[in-house]
Amino acid sequence: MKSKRHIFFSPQACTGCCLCELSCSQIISREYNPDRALIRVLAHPDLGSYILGLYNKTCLCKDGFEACTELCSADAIRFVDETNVPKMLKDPHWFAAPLLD
Amino acid sequence: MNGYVGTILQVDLCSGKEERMAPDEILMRRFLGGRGFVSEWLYEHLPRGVPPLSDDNLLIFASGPCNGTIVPSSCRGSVGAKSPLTSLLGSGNTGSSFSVQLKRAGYDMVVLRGKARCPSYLIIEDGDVRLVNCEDLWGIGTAETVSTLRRRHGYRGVSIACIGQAGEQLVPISTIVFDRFRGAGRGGMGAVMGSKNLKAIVVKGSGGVRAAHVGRLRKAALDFIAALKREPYFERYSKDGTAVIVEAMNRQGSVLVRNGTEGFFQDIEGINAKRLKTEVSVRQKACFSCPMSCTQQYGVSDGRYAGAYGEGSSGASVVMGFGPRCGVSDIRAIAKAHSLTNELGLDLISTNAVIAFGMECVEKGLITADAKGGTTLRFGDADALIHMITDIAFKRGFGTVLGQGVKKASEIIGGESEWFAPHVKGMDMMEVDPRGMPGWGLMFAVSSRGADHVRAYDVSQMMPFSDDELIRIAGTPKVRDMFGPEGKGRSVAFFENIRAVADSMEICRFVTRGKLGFPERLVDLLCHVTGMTFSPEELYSIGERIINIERLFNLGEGMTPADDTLPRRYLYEPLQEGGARNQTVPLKEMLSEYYAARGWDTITGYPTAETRTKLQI
Repeated sequence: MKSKRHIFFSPQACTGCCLCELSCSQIISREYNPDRALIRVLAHPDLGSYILGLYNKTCLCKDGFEACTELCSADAIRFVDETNVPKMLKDPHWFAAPLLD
Repeated sequence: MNGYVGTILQVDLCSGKEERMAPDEILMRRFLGGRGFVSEWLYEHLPRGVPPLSDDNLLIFASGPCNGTIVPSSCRGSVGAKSPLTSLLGSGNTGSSFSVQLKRAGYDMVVLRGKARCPSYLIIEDGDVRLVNCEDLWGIGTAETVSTLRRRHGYRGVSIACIGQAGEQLVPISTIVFDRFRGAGRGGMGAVMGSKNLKAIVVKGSGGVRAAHVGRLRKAALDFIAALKREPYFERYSKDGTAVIVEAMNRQGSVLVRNGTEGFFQDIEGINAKRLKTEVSVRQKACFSCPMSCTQQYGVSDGRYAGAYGEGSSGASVVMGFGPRCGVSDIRAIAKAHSLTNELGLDLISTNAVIAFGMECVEKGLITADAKGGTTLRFGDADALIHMITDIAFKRGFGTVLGQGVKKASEIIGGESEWFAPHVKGMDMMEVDPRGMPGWGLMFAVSSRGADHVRAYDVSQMMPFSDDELIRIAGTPKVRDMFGPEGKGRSVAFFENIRAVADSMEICRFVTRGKLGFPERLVDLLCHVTGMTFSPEELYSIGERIINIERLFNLGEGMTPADDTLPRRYLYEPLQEGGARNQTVPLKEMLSEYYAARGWDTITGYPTAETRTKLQI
């Protein structure tokens, strides 16, 4: 994601609902299609361990609007400015979302 | 087209012939989708009197307009067919991603008829629909079936509905298991699938779903989520699952204890939500697109049932059904029983109903260890319970009798068993004792699929409604009184109507169980998704129309008003202890109010001419 913001996620908080994917995909593609989202919930099909990954493409959200966090009821996603990265790295509950390509 | 993806797929499993047609706007406006589509299609297209396990029965899977969008908790999907258990409407609603993937593959509904020549599974992958021979999968459980099919067809974007051994054996209380852990299809939908030689359906979609007004939908969805978070059940269910209600229900006398022979379960602390959480529950998770994480994952890591794991959002049903109903107070055994029903493809409610019924038959000396297949079932015997679940699925011994459901089992066993056989219209009753919640007794008596709670899910005694709200719901705030009959008939009719709306939009009942299910809360979501215009009043009428179509289907199959009743135990045998001591169900008064609220003829049971005109049916 070509942005000065980084996305962190909390695997303990994420419930796997995928509303972030749906919300993001609508901004990117004008339809609700999880495959078009820049954010992706990686999950075990039965056991449900959740990791958020990101495609390294331009995020269209701006001016304080964050499509994925807006719909996240679990507070499992954070947009983090460059200056706050060290603080988040120290927090054991938060992990920087891995890039998928 | 917005909300809908524009294709109804019909597949003849015998010839492999496919037919695609577009759902017309009249169908959408009159029945919305999901449950409404299933019920209307069965009513219009299934000839009366078709044997449920014959090639001619239809097995239908339907999505709703909100599936696949950001409408909160909109991953539900509906399935239906004529039931081999009741010979009436059989149906179910599930929280997997099946209906979402069905829409992404391009289908609003799939209608299956005929019978495959050999054990097969159906692949629906966007435009590619084909039947694949799978004799290698026949005879194995749902876990391995799903694992095998996922290895073949992928993980992400793939959803699988399959049957276990119970469905293959045509057990009338079998169900369909979606994405391994989600059962749906009460009344033997698993057997219907098995009768068609269909082991599984694999759905894989790559498309998206469009909404008419995305900005307005986003705002409406956020408003809905904010309102949901203000509801008291949001945090309780998200943190501890639905089992949090079990202890309070036990105190009020509404938990079935030992098949309804007692009114209070003494060992409740062994199986309450706290015990569940500390001993077997692993974590909470959410269904696709749901802000509320009421699904509980569980795992048994020690003891004789170690190794069992699974998940479900029906924690209260599981705990009450395999716990107090069967006299079992071992939370690990309860977890094992749930895991086993999923693995074998058995309906959770029917399974615990027939086993508890069998236990009472044994205790009353109506069945001995040698007779009718023989059994050692006893209340509180967890091992015998676990053993019997497998026997039911494989039609072994006494399991062959119980697997036919409570009604037929009591006909076979005879004696006084009919008195306490927990069923309505042949459908095994869920785990609530209606003497402790008479309004739910009415729900069981009139539900379109027999003794069942989710067709109405009346919460007028459970939730903090204002007097004005109760007057709107039931005509009187007196409906708040747990045991009084006043207002119950109107209340059940009201909740049935709004339930039918949400089930047809395919939004979860746990989220829309109270005020969030009222038409004025749902109408914006529907309008912004579809671009069609509805008023809250129209939406309410659609729910009423769906209930009436389901009624007409059942009447056409031979049901009469005399079938709108309860097992005699709950009408004439008062509980001796607990919060509902001395109570029976005042069904007659409630039923009379219900019929009046519905606009049904009390003699024939049919909607009156006035009702039919009003609802255009």
